[in-house]
Amino acid sequence: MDNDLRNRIREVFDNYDDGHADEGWQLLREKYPAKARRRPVLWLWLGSAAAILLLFISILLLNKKPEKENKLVGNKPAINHPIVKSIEPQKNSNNIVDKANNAGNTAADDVINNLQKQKLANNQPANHSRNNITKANKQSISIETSNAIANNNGIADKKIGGNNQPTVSSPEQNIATINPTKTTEKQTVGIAKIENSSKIDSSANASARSMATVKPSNGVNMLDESKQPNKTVFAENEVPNNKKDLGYKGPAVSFGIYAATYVNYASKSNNQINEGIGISSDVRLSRKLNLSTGIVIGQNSLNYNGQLPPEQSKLLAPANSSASSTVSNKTSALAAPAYAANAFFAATPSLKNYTASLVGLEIPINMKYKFNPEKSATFVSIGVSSGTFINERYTSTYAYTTPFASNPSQTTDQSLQQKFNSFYFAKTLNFSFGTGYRISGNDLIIEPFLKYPIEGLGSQQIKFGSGGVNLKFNFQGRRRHD
Amino acid sequence: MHPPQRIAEDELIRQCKAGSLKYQELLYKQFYGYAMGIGLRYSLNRDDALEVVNDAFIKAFNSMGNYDITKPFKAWLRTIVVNTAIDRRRKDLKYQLNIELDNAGPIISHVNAMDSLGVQDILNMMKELPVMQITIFNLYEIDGYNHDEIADMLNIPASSSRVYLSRAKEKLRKLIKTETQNHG
Repeated sequence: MDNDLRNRIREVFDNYDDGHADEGWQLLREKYPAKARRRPVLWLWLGSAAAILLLFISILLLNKKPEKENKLVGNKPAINHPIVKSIEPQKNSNNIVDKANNAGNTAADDVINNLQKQKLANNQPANHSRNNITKANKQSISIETSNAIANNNGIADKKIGGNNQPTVSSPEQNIATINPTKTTEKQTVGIAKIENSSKIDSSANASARSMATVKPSNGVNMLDESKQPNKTVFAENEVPNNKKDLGYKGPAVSFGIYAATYVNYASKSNNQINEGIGISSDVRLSRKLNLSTGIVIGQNSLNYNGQLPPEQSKLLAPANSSASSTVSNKTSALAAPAYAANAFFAATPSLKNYTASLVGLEIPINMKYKFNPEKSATFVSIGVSSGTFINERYTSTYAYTTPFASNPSQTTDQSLQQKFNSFYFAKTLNFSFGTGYRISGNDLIIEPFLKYPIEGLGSQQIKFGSGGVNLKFNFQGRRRHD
Repeated sequence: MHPPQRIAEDELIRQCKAGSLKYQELLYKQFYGYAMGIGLRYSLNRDDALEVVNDAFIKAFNSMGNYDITKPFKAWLRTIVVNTAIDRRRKDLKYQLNIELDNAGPIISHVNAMDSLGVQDILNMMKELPVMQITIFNLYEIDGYNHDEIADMLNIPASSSRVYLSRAKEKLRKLIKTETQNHG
């Protein structure tokens, strides 16, 4: 009796169905709506927060850099600088210099006029007047910027002191004296002021350009340099003599926009051409190394003809063997029992096509190495991508036969759609190479890239990557040539 | 009204693992009856059983990621439902340990043969048994647990489990015999 009772109880309760499953589900939904409903909001929040944080940090970095530079200039009082200290006694004793430093164009012109008048009054030979003016100009510059050029200082002292003798008669000597290639360290500091006038490029042949600059057609140009504020001089004194350091420094953070055209690839899938757009920001870590990040929205699609993605085939391998004997190996379990419920459909359902369409929101983090940031925008980049999918849609198309229908061969689609299902972290490897052109200080870049999947992506964990080209426009903002 | 479309168990589970609410609903409706059958045996009334079943499904959905797809889903779900039912009745079970067990009353159902026993008949019989006895009867005879497992689950000695089972079976025999005589 025990066995009979046991078997009867099992039989009765294992096949129990009161037909109230719908009501039961509604009751369950009262307790269990939270996870399904909150998830998209959560990912939206996280995505938005990440984007805002990124933007905020970028702006902060962008704004902080110039402030630091200004502080550097502003916090260095002229009087504390060793070179300035050495100049100071002369400044005190030389009214002309004070005027040149403190007054505007009028004062500077006065200096020239006074010197010229002085020379004329002392009957200087006419053929020396040009050189004397040059010397006077040089003296003004030397006193103002640096007292390191001994020869020039000597000339200046004598002239200012009222010595009528032309101590330097050859302009070539002046040029040789201030040529940066032959000067001492102190002399170089003095010359840096001249270079700062934007007339001389430090990276070019300094000697020739110095000649061109130091040889004025009249004294005004040279005195224009003496009108530069003191802080500029001291700022320039901070610039080391190393040629590399004098070169190009890009902005601390630069932004860019780009459009991408690429091909999605995956095992057993036909390649699909897709597009995406994004914004990028490059944070300068060193002269050649940048941290590049941003946000990309891109469409990804895969198309499997008559077969499932390998990832799903693996998952379903044990299922297919037990699910339904009427379903072929290629058939997904998605459809088999659905058709098994219908005698007509259960005959030969088979998977005809499987497509995956994913709109991705991607956050790449790459290290970018620029080969020659001063001259070109050529770089290589490597990194990883994280992100989520705004929308995922997987569609299985099944073919089946209905023997008694007018059209025996029919197809039906079954779709699965999900939004913001999950966030993946560092599941794609990025490689890219970029080169481009400078347009008005900005860069137009063509960047071939390859994204290689480390793990499966999306709710179906399909391992897919992409390869294509980014057309990028980088706004460089303030480009400084020190 | 169309009958609910039956989807492959593996596909249902795979989609539920991915968090698809739609497929969770399909899974629920597909296994609702099976789970209710278990819940009823332990709860003995429909409302309590439905609560047990829903709680069990929520647990199942939340821990679907840990489910091994290669193992039978029904067995996994059965374990969850049984544990949920026992958790809900744990206070009753403790109370029942201290009361006199031999308090069987008259049988209400009108069974005259084992094969004619329906859900309500069996439930009516089960209601005549103390909670501890019917729980152990269900665990041992219907769901296949052994006495050591039952002892762990109910936090009682294995020997007590044997005694309760023996008494449950004896009482059920009496109930069935009485009913058979009444209708024979």
